[in-house]
Amino acid sequence: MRDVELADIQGNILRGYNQPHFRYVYYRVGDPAQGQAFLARLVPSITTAQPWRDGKPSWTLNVAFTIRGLFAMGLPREVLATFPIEFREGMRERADILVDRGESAPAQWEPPWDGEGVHCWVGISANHPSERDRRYEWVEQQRSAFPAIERVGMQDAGKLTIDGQLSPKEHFGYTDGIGNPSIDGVPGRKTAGGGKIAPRGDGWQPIAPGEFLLGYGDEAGEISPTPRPVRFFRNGTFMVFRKLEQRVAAFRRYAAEEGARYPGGVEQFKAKLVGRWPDGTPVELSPDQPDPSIANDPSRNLDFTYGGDPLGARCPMGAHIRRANPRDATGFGGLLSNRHRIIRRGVMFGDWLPEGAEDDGGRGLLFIAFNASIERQFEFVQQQWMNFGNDFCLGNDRDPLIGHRDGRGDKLVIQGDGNGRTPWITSPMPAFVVTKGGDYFFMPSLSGLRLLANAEAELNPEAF
Amino acid sequence: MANIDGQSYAFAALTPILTGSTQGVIHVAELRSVLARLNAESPSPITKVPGTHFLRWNIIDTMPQLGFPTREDPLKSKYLLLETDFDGDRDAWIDGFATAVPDLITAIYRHCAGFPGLNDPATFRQYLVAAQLDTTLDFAPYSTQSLDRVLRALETQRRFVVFARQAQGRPDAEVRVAFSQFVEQLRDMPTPPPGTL
Repeated sequence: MRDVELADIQGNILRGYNQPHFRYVYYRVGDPAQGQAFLARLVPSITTAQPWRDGKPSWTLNVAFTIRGLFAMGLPREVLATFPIEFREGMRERADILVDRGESAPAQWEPPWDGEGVHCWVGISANHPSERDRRYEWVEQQRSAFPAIERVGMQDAGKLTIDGQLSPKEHFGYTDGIGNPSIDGVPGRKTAGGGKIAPRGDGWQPIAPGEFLLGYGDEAGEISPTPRPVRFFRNGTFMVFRKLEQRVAAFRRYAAEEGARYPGGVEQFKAKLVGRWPDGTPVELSPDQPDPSIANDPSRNLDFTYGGDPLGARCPMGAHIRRANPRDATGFGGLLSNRHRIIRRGVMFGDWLPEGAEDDGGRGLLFIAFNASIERQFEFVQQQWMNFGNDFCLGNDRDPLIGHRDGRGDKLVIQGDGNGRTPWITSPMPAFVVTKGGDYFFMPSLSGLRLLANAEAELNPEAF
Repeated sequence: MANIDGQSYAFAALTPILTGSTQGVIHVAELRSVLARLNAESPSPITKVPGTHFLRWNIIDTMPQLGFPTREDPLKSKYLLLETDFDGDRDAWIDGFATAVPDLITAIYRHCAGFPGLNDPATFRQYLVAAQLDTTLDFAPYSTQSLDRVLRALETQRRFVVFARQAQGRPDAEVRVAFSQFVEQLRDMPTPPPGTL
């Protein structure tokens, strides 16, 4: 068990807030001194990863910066230069690696992700919309003292309301947020299947905190090259933020048409595509029908491997969740997956699309991922596993749900089971998910935020 | 011999880049821009070079050693590294290379020391062979398959997906007949030109 300094770490990294109402506010900082003073006012209210003694708070507040934002806040160039290249370049520059092309290309992104982009990201979550609004107004009130700080956009998000009820489903209709990693040294339930496969294959172990936080040992047993000064980076991490439009009507239409031809029918087709039935039952554990006793049991709905199903007879080799976290599907007892894990904290924007309604561009996922190395973790998963098939013996095939569409790799092969069910090759898929914007952020520790708020005094390069 | 794996030849050649400039053209800078433009060309002109599976050039600026503090081995000049995998015989490939893309070769190698030009194929062959490095570890993607066979296999795979989409779900007898026809068509299909798949 490692000692992770929860009180110094921003809260949403290690814990999903699981609140229904979110608001993300985007700022640009025109003057370092004003940026620092604004941040100094926010710091005392930032939510940390400390356990909640009195239950879940009614609201939370977190903050993160892009490379341009850190520069605008007055962080010395000597410090900026020690950040990894992918963070310094930012998401737009990495578009080719991320396969953000065509409709998803940065030239098509919407404000404020076009042009200069965002400097500072403020995330608010709350149990009630009124609480969210109050918190937002408080933040804006702090900002109003600083004319050089410009609010360049904001985005509401949260859980979907379906038939008048708050729902755990995402827009395509699947139960979401099941598969986050268990982390060594972080209190909370250690879910079977949430960590990594134990060396002898007999059970699960939590993942080293250094995969998700700077300054800790990682799965290679190393503290990855941490930017300097250590005091600024330790307990911080990198946040990937993407606004992804979901084309729900296109997805429903495709699933209905293709599912009608597929011998197993529409529901099984949808399950094979994702690797989970819409209720969350893993296809690997229950290939023929959903099983609520598994789906609703957190000790079971993650507890599976693919080693016994190397040819995809149960869960197709190209199914979304098998690609996103292949566990032991690529052999070596899962060792090849352990260094490509991410923490996901995505929330939905836009309303649930009623059956039969057409897409209007107004809904999707605000994808949020935390990782210690954007290049090794998020970018690798996005490039090699979502938009390429080689690691899974699938040639150029891309992910059936979120893969980029340009006429290549636009199929899913549902492997046969060698027992009467023959393989099925789907029709070409249209785009179901399109990137509308986003960037790479650094989410400093509380100590880091205090340093940044006093950047000129404390981050003088002479001092470290 | 490690240069040959199956029927595939792994050729590498290291040529010194001219230092400084000639008539105002800085050699290494001009070479970088030629290579950058080449990267953007689609299909790549290299598809015209017979039997070529893979080819790339790299500019080697310096030789840093990993570790802390980083040390650099000083080089006498910057170098151009050519790496390629092709079918069959080395000398025949170099001749085909010179015939297929003479302008590109001149645009690149005129910035390298000792480039004799392309007027005499034998001299250019000797130039590249003199610069050859033995390949000690070759990772050939298809060491036992010729370029034509790889292209036909990829085309077969592409056509098979189309066939399978049409045939799946139909009665077995129909599928059997359709499959025989499909195999006949494969036999007659032309080999797709390099760079088209």
